Amino acid sequence: MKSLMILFLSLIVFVGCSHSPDYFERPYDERYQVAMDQKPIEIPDESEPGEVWDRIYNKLFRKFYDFIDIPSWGRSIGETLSLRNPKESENVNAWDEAPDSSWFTNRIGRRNTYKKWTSEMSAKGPRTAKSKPDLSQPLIVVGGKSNGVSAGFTVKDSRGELYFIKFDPSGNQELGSGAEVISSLLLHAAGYNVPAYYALEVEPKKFKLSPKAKTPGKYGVKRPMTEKDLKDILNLVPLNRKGKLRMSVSHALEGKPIGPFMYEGTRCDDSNDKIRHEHRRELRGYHVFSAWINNTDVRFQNTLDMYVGKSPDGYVRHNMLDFGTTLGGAGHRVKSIRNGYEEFLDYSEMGKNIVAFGTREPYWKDVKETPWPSIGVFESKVFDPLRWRTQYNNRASELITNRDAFWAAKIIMKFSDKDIAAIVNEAHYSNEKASEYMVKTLIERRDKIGKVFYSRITPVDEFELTSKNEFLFEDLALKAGFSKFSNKRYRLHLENSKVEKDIPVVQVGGKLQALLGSQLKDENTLSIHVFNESGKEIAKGAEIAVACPEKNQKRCLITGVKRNY
Amino acid sequence: MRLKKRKKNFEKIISLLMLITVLWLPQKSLAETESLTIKEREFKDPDRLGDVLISPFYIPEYLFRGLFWPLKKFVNFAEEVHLPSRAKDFFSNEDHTIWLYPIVTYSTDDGFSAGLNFKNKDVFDVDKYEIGASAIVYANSDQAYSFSFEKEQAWHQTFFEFNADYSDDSNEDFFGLGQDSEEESEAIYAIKETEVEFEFGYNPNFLENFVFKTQLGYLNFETDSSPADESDPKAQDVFVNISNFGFGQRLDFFSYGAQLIYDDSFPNGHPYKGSVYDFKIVDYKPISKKEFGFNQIDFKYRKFFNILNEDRVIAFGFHHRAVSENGKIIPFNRFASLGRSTLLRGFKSDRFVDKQFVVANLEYRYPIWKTFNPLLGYGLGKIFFDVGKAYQDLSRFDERDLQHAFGFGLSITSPNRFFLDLEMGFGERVQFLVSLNRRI
Repeated sequence: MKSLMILFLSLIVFVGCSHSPDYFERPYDERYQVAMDQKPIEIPDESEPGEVWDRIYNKLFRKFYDFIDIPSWGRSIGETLSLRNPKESENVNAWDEAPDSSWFTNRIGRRNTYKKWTSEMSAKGPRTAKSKPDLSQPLIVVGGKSNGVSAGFTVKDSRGELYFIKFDPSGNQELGSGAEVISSLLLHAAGYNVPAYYALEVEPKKFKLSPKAKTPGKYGVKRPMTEKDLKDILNLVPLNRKGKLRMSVSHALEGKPIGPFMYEGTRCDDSNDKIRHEHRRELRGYHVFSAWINNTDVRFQNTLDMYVGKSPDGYVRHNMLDFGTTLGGAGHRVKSIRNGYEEFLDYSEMGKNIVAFGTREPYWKDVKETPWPSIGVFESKVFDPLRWRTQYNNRASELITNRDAFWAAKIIMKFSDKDIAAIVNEAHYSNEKASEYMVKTLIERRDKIGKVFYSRITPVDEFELTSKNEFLFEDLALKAGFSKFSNKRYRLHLENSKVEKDIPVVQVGGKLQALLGSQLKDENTLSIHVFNESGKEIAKGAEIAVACPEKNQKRCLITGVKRNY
Repeated sequence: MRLKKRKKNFEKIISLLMLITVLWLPQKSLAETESLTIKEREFKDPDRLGDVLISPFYIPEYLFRGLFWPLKKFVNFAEEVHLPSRAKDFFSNEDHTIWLYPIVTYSTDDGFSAGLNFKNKDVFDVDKYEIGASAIVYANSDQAYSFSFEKEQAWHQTFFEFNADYSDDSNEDFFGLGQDSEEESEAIYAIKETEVEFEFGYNPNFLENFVFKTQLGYLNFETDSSPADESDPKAQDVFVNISNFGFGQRLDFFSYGAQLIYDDSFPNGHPYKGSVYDFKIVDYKPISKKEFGFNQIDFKYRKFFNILNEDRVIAFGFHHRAVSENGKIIPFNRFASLGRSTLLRGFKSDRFVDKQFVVANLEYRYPIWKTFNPLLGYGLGKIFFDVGKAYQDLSRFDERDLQHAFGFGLSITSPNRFFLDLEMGFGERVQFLVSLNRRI
């Protein structure tokens, strides 16, 4: 029996510690910016996963699954003993970034782009002339709202474009609509697919009921929508000072809806969907973006897959939507104070509370609602990116690694103060102070995210190899002003078949530079290490692979980046 | 010997299988799909059955999915057909003024009980009047029914409450009279009891927080001479003198009394500040058998302190009950009885029976979670310490004989006013209690 146990344990540790191949072993085609996941496929069936089951599964049964998943014990032991790294995202390119795909399009974070991303582009987002509703004519109500907690309905404008309307909660004008516009624009600029959102004010008389309109009745069964239904909804919403209704309007996404995507597994009938969602960089990294915008409702209900094109020549595009529960709002009301700081049923907090017999205070005890009804509960003083919580974690956010978080933080840090101000301006807050507070809070939260995740991995990036073999890179912490050049020491170590030596690094302009000259050979590895003043390595460095084709040694190329823990 | 050999062979086979798996898995691990081609990845889609055949890594997942598949299907079906809304509509009317609540309790002493509670909060279409009724059946076939009709209490107004209770207990415990009773000398008797009370109250507008009540009532009970289970010791066999105290007789009483309450505790349900003083006196006059008669005086005091914030509360409680005979005989089951039901937790109900009892409780309540969820609401943890004693009169009160118990518990209150209590008491016995929608 003893031998059996030893063998069993060795199985767990061995399997758990099995080596994960790094970028050097990947085919070179994976280093490009575009993933080939938009190949034509037949239209998949519409998926309708259960909301209740998702809650139960994520809060209860997944813990049971984790318990019976014996190989995961091995992986955990391996990670704890530093024998293996945590499972990294599978869809990263050679730059350790998410390539463009049906899930994500690099925008503000795009590398080597000739057309720079501007604040105007951030503020415009996915909004086009087509997506903007025509308010000169009545809006025809074609249906009631079938899910969510805010009051609203579906309308068509004079051009026949479809829109989803959500009214702000009573007593909190501009709360939901402001959050939807700001969060959708931030996420769009970051790279996610989102609908075009507008914060608009409309007179109640603008809404006309279509005779064909239907609304979910008792037990969700659709029935004809009546004038009384319309009146009841409009009566729930207070008019603002101008005698208008303030609302968020989202333009229907392009294509045919085929249901939400899950944060784990794949969609069986989409042959482009090959990577398990929990191992997708953009879905793991979404946790950090969510922390920034306080998106506590990261569930499948707030996602939607659209089949774009005509079957069988179309493909599935994956979208994020419904941002009414971001920033300081919770859809139909202001966020509860604990939202974002604790999960819906936070077992860890509950356990600590039981044992502490009430002697412990939550770290968020000083969080207060802001004085502006349009902002609700949104702050940056207590916010801690590492302790920030969604209502309940999904698989992807649980598996997030330092590399995933660094990638997300890197994109978030690319938002300038001007970008943020331009986006917040689109929320059209009537109170200027509220607007200023929102900008300030988003900036402070951004910086906190940058500080935290730049400190967990060596924050070197923007690698560049000039034709003169000058190796240029940036220390993002330095660039963001989180540290000073004088407080840091850099060491670049070059290794190839002929040379193995350290090369000095100097600061030139805003960049760090190392002259490699003719020392580069066919296959080279450059290791960057960063030390503090006392000579202690701040974090494990990054390795950069450089390939020089034998026939043309002067045209060396960076072929990949590996970030170490 | 043969069994040992078989066991060894089994171990060998398992070891061999594990060795093969160890050697084979690292190359075939699905955790390493990076090195696979697109074609291979497609084949390794975890939602496809083929994975089970090629990678044991997914066996836990398939096992898990298989185990919970029926539950998942049911939950999804329930959501699709709006089962919670249908259930709510089934247990309530359209305006949600009439409700049927399930009641479930479990205690290590009494076992399971289940029942239904009916409430109409809108009688005569006036929200001041409320009708309630409940029926509870215990695992040992004991039954309890109650009916109430009341005009709700409001400041500076008169109110009333009518209660009618009937219970049929075939396994009532009796441990004898006096402080020296022992749990081992437990005897069983059966009792059927009917009690009807009408209370009329008034909140005087010149005295804030004061409530004055008067009551009229009728009490009838009949103790049976044999327990439901014949193997249980009969009360008259264990306590030969209790027939003098009305055992095996049918007695009925007319009662009248008065009650004065001062209550500035806040808020209702789980107060965190304020205090309650409650003084009540009820005289029971015999109707049929004139030799019996008694009166009961209760004084209760509760004080709530909050520490740092309203979530952490120390509740102090004190209860003194005195039952006096006024020259007549007190029926044995109407003595002042101290135990679980009078907040000496960790002891059986009616564990100590005498003319008076005193009990003090110190309870610390602290928050464990708070949600807006209609089901989970908020959870309060509690730690308590109870001390009490039943005694004949003050001259025989010996503080060294005080009984004490401690324990802990969890109380969940949902925004829909459903509540679940879990409690563990350590006194003379370890007592575990669970109750849904009923305080026990």
